[in-house]
Amino acid sequence: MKAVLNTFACIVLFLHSSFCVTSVPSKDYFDEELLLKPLPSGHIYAYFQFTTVWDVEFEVTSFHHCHLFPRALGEIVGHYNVQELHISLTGGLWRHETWGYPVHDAAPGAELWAWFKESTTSIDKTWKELAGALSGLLCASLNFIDSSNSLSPEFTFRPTGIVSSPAANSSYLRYATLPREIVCTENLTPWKKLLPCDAKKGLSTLLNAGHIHNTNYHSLGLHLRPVCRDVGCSQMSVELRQTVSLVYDMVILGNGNQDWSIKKLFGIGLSGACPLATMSNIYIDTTLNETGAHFQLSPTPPAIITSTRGGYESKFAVYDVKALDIDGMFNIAAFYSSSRVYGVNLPPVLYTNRYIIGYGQERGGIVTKLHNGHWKALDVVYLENIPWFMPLYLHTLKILANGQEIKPLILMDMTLTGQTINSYAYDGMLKELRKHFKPVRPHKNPAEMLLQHDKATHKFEDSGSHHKIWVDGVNPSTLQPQSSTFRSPLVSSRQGCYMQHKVSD
Amino acid sequence: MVKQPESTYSRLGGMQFIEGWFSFLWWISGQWFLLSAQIDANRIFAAVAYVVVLIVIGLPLWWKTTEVYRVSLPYSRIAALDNLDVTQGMNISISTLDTARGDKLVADLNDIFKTSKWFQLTFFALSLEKKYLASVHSLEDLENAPFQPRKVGELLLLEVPGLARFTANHVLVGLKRTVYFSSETTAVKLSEVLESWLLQEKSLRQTVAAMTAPTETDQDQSGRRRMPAAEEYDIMITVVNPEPEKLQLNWDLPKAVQVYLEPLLHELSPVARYTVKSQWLYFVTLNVQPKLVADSSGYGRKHYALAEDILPQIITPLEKKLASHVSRNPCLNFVVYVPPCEAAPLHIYRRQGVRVKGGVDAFLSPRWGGIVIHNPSSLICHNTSVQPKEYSPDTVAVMGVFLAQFRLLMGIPELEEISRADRLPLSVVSLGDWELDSLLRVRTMEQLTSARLTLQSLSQLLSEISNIVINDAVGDSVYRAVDCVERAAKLLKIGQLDRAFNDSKEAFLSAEAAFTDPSLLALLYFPDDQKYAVYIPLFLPVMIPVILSLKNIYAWFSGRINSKSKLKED
Repeated sequence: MKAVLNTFACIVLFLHSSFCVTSVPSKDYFDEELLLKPLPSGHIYAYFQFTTVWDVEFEVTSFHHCHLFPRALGEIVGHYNVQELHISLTGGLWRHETWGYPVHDAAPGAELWAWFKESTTSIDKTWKELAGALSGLLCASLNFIDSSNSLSPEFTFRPTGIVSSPAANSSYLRYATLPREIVCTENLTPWKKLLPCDAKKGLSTLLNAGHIHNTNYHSLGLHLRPVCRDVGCSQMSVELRQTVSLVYDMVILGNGNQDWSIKKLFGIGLSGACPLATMSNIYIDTTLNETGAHFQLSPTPPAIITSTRGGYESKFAVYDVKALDIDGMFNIAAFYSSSRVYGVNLPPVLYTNRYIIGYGQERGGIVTKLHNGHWKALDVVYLENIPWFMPLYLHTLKILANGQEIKPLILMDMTLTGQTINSYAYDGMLKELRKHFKPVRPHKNPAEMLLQHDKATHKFEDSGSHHKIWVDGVNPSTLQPQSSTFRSPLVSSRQGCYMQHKVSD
Repeated sequence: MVKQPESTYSRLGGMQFIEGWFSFLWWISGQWFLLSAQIDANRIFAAVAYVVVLIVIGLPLWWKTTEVYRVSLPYSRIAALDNLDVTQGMNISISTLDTARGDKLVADLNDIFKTSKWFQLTFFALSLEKKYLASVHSLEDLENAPFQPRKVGELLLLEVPGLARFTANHVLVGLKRTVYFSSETTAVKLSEVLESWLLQEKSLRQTVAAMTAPTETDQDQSGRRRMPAAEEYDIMITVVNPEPEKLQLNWDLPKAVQVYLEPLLHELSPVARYTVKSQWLYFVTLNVQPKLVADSSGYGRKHYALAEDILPQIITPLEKKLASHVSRNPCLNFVVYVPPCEAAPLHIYRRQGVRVKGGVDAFLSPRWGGIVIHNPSSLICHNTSVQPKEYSPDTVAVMGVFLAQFRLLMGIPELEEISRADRLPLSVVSLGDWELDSLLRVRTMEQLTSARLTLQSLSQLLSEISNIVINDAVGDSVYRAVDCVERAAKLLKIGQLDRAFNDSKEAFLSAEAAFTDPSLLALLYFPDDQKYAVYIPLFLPVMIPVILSLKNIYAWFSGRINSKSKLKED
């Protein structure tokens, strides 16, 4: 023991003589935001966004020394050479027709897509290992993702972060969904552990599993991408966005009237902002106050901002949690003047419906209806991921618009293996069918797409003839804001906007 | 899960029916043949053809195709590893002013160490030029002299006349591979220093014994602390700040790591590779309640005490945040806990009720890492004007503790007290060369023993269960491991410590790779009794008439031979 202290003393003496400089480590920032938006159908849309921006170059060694950025995720991202990563775990279906567009759209179940760096070798193997590591991180069964149910879509996805060259090579992209995946507390807890304040302080204390999962739609998201540090884009930063999207049904939660409050939605008030956060805001969308059900906010909002986007004007009441002097629990409540009022529903520009037609167990068809509410025609890129046990007949594809049949501009269909569609010597091999095309869409009437398939060739142990079949959602996407926080795009308006939404049946 | 050939059971019924029908036909025709006076030669040849196809060709073919693919392993060589000679040869040179004294020292030391089972020490006298010792002003001059042994594993015992002017001790161990001793030192004192500080024979013996007979012997203290042998280690440095709104830490952790840890890691690079990572944890509490103790000094005349027994409970809430999802290397965790001013100063109390000496509140968890409790200075805490308070931790103090803990965790042993013997203080380097040598020695023995035990248990397993597939990769690993073990033992004997260590590491890794290969788990073919149960109903109905017809064939041929000889006689 004495020898240890002697050694230690010697080391201390030696070190003291050499160390004299202090330098500033890389800076990182953390912001937290909450958006509450009453929807015309009587639902409440709650959207949390936790953003960590780290001013560091996107290298493997950068993630060895983390501060606010979660080290567990940084190690995975660095080790597997990931350029951009998007994960979402969703329960429920987003009703675009009645609810409008969410901030981040997500397909039901688990959805994972990643852009790998140009220097990555053997992308399929890395993709499988990445899915395995993420399934351990988030306690989700993402390990079922492998090359048999992953795609490399060419037109649908574009990198949302900085890229080295404008032409994105889709062979570095991998996309997979697991529509059967269930989201629960088991996923919420490790997701919350990735936050710097770890559900102990700030807006993340509102994420209580009992209330979060008592919703019509709940979705956890993790989005990582490189961004520009400044306007001139001379240096890179790493941005991580953790999002929670919730849609509450006030008929279930309310006691007969439409009043809502933070305590009612989340079970607990807010005790303060996260001390590590630079910005901590709550936005309440008060646009419907003029047109639909009128409500009064209590306490009165300190600031109201107006945002014009795509021709629509929205008003937001902003509460800056850091500036508030909170004593005890802070609660925002909305009191409605009448008991139950439903607003007039204006469907959004593009929304989709899917349904199955046909009768009997032998064959059937899938119809996808795309509704265009815009005043001019829209181009649509359509992506569909069909599992191997649903044999589709591509020659029966019929696209009707305005009563006339139209032909797609580009139809790309790929089968991973060389087998024909009707074969069922599977033994573990899967096939996918992907269609990308660009029809010119006229407006007013919905366009229909019809595809026929066989039902009788399902193998018993794979799906069961009376078992519900899970087919992945489709991805119609019809142009991207550069800012990280929710607040900045509110005050800008641009001509075109890239939008992607996911539908399932 | 046993995987069976698909065709077997599905075609079993059909085959049996066909074979049964066929055997019936054969019997009918056999009866007809017996009734007829003459047996047609063609029929006999047809029977012979059946015998040839089924028994001569078919049976060996079936045996070969239902065989399990097994690469032949060197079972005898692996069994012979039990008697492997792993004594370490070492050349120790002694240099004295007086040759007679030198020879006597050599003879005495040879005598003392001839009973050593693990070492084969060869002492010999070395004569140095007088000029080196004449104009020496400090021991550091001697350290930089050219006669210092450079080969890994060697030692030099150097008599320095007038050692008393530098130190009061009789024996002083240098930073490289030299031990300086004064003119009054006896061989016994020298052997004591060699035995307990430099050679560490007891530690070696206990390490090997603990591995070969774990129920009888346990590791010694330094062995219990030492991280298990691996090719690469992860080092994770964590700063825990439970209340960042009250206390803000300004600390450039990556820079501190680079300045302090990198030199030691570089010196330890022959042993293993290291990856250093760091993170900050907020809002993580100790989960234990320290006791309030009033005293005269400290901030506000009180401090908080953490008893030694509750220290293990501090590690548990931290474990959640320390795991890595990508790396499988053993991880050394170093944690700095900075309590806020309201809970400071926090001190550790030993079991006897006294505070830890030396002003450093830190503790080590064997094979896991170490935790330092770094209290913010009283100056910062008494300054109530600024909120949150800003504090820059004392990097030197914290990193010094981490370095000392890291040395212990890697297996660099603590030195016991020997009277009138000491070591030179570390100034320019963090690790003495002889310390690295003794670490290499103990790791070599550990890795060799582990490789030998793994190979022996693997060979026992594979020879007992005859239908585990041994593929080429596993076979290569086993051969490589056996070769490396034998080569390492030979190199150890002749004193090539660094090459022996590399070979022993290669042997250890190959043996582990072979043992934990997932292909060994797949029992692809089913056990013998099931194999026979599948094939006997298939072949037996065919074989019975064929075997019975052998009798007829033999009778016919012998009849022909007899008739031919009869004809000849006639």
